[in-house]
Amino acid sequence: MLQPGLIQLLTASDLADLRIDAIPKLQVGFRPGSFFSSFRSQDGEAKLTFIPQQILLNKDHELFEDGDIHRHLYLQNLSTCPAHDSPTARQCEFRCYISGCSQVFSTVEDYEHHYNTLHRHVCSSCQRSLPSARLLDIHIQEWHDSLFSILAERQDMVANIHAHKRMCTHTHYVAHSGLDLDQSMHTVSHSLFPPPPKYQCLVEGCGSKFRTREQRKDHVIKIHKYPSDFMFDKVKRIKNIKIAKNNMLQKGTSMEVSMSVSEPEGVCEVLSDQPEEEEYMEINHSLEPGILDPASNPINTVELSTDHDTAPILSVTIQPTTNQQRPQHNRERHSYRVPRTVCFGQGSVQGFRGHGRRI
Amino acid sequence: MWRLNAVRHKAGRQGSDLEEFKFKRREHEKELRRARKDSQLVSKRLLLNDDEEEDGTMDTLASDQVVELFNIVRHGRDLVKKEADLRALRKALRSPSAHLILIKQPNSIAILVTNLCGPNPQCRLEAARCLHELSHSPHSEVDSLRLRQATPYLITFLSGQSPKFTELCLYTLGNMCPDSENVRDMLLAQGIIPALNNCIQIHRTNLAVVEAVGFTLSQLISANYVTERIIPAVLASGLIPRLLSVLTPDSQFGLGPVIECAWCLHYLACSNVDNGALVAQGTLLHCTSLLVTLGVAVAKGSIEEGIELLIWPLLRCVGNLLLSGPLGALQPQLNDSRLLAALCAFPQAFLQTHPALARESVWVLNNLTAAADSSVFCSALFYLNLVPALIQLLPFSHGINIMVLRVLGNIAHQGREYCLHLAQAGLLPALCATLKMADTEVVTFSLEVLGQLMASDPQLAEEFVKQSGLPVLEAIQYSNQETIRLRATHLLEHHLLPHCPVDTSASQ
Repeated sequence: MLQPGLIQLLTASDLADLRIDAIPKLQVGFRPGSFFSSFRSQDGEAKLTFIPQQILLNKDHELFEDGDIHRHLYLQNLSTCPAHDSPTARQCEFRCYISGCSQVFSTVEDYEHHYNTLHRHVCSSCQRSLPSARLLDIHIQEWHDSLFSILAERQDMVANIHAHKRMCTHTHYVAHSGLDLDQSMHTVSHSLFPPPPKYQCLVEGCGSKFRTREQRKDHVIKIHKYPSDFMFDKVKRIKNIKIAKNNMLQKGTSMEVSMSVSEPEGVCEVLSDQPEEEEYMEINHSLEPGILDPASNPINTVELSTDHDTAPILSVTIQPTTNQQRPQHNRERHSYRVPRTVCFGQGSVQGFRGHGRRI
Repeated sequence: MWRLNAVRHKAGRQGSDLEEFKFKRREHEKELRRARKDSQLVSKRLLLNDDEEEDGTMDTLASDQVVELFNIVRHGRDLVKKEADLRALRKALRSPSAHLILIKQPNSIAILVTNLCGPNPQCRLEAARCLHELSHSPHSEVDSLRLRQATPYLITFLSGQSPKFTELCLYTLGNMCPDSENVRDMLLAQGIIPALNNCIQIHRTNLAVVEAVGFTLSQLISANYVTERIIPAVLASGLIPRLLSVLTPDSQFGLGPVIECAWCLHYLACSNVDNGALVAQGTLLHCTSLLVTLGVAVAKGSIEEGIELLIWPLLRCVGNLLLSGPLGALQPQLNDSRLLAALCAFPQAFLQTHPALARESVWVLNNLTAAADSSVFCSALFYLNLVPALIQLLPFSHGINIMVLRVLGNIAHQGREYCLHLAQAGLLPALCATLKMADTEVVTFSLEVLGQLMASDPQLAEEFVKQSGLPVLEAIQYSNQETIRLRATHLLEHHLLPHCPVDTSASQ
């Protein structure tokens, strides 16, 4: 219970060393200028106001309550009961101070885990929380960097065009069957079109970069042996306007305010600990051949495979994913849910990501 | 427990099983807290008599039987028989209902008083016991004013030589003191204070009487509205040295009397009427010596049951007396540095059983470290390596961590050397934890102490950053509590960001 140092101090037999006036006094005072300058802000208003104060307590002070009660229980012969009901010292609780969170924890480890999970490495655009700074950077670059998006989009368009043309030796550009490969024009186009963005490998230290998400995904699965159902980045979805508005009202977060709001999903984003109960459908509005990874996150998503020759089927009803800033116990339920196998309507998806048109 | 078998309160008289007892105790405690909030916290004590130890049951007599007994006493002329008659009456008065019956009889008190002063010592004793029972009555009709006929005699008998009789008189008077201001004025006028002084002098070797004097005095001075006349009278009476002599560390008296005297000193000190006089008579010296002795006992592990009842008033007395003058002037009475060790040992020892005592112990440290000339005590805390023990108290609520933060803030305020020593003792990581606590006041104090540390030396700011303190402060900036938001922002702007070339916005 008592620390050994304290015990030794109190039970020491040599009293001469224990006189206060024999103890060397530390030097008092601060470096000139260091004390006052920081305590007053520019306008002279004191931000830090603590000053040492002796405290006199009169007999009725609330600080004395427990002691008085104990005294009177003794006087009234009720203090001999061995089982105490008197208050015992509690460890302080910890609280998350992020406004809107206010969760309380009994240990600092729990609090830190919560903070590191939900409030660190948070993307300020979409409020997603990423596991590390590096993944946050990748996320921002791939989803919120407009230049990246434009370049990626252009790359898709160019790739689409390329598919019908003869291959350029430089970039495997395929020239159109009906046109000669105009190398000079094409080369110029390379200077007009900056090199396509590179999708970085997710594994730290690898450094590989890829032209497409799929290529990166394949790399990560094949080389780094990630499971095929790892939380790969998912295509942006287009939301129903109604739900988008609902979300904005309910959450009050700053979502992109556009007619149809797309909610990007991050790279290896952290989802909440609770299983995803909402279901939604995704759109494949990439015009690349092939199917978006159907195995990614089977709980959450069902992609509709599309053949890009036909207009892709568009689903409209999207459930929001968790907004990481919401308290975990307060998950919002949206009434508008769509079962997996239903799809509504058709339409084509055009335009740049993030600025989707009205469906 | 010492003496507890002899001195009881009626509530404890009925022997019940443990659960019922605990339940009663809890209920009682709630009542006491309510009473305290209304400034009506009062206790009375009942002295058990020897022949009542065997007598487990209380016979509640019918009212006419009580009247009958009284009439026998009233009319009886045979002194030998009278003693038995009085005894019978006294036993009947064990039952509270008999009190009401008795006081309704004409001249009942006068009859008892007559016997109190009568020639037969045994009759005096029995009469005193009857009055004692009445003084302890739960009925409000049986109040001290009813008994006022007896008080001049009771006070006079305090200077007598018979310990048992004196003890009875003392407890009777002690039970009467809290009843009303009028009663206290009356007792004062009748000379209770010189009588107490005399009594404790005469019976200074008798622990039961000394305890009774202490109890009666504490009842007198802990009541409301006593600062104008009663306390000055006590201070001037010469009682203080006698009380202090009971506090000698090697007292043979057992804890009972020491406890009562300590509570008296506490009530005197916290009234703040003339604490200089208290100090001049050696109160601070005696109290601190006894605290050191108790600290040594605690360190050795010999924590006697009920010792907290003694530590409590001593802490309060010392804590308040520290404001009686400049600390430098008081230093000769505070020269034993083991006092600081004891003040750090009590929280460790009593944290789980009596957290309020831990808090008050740290409060005394606050008063030692907050004065203008506290540097010697602050230095001593480092020299004796006591700061880590304080830092270990920071996780605990109940006001403990706030008081500890005050002490640490006081130390930091002394100067740069002190701040550096605090950092060496491990304060910065501890502050990183307290900054995350739910209690806003704790966070505010933590920010203040942290600000002080960083203002004293830039290397402490760097150290704080190394302890991953920056994200903690940044998180506080998002709180909805303005006090901590402003302080956190201030610290970041003035002390931390100039040191950090790294972009910290990614953490948000």
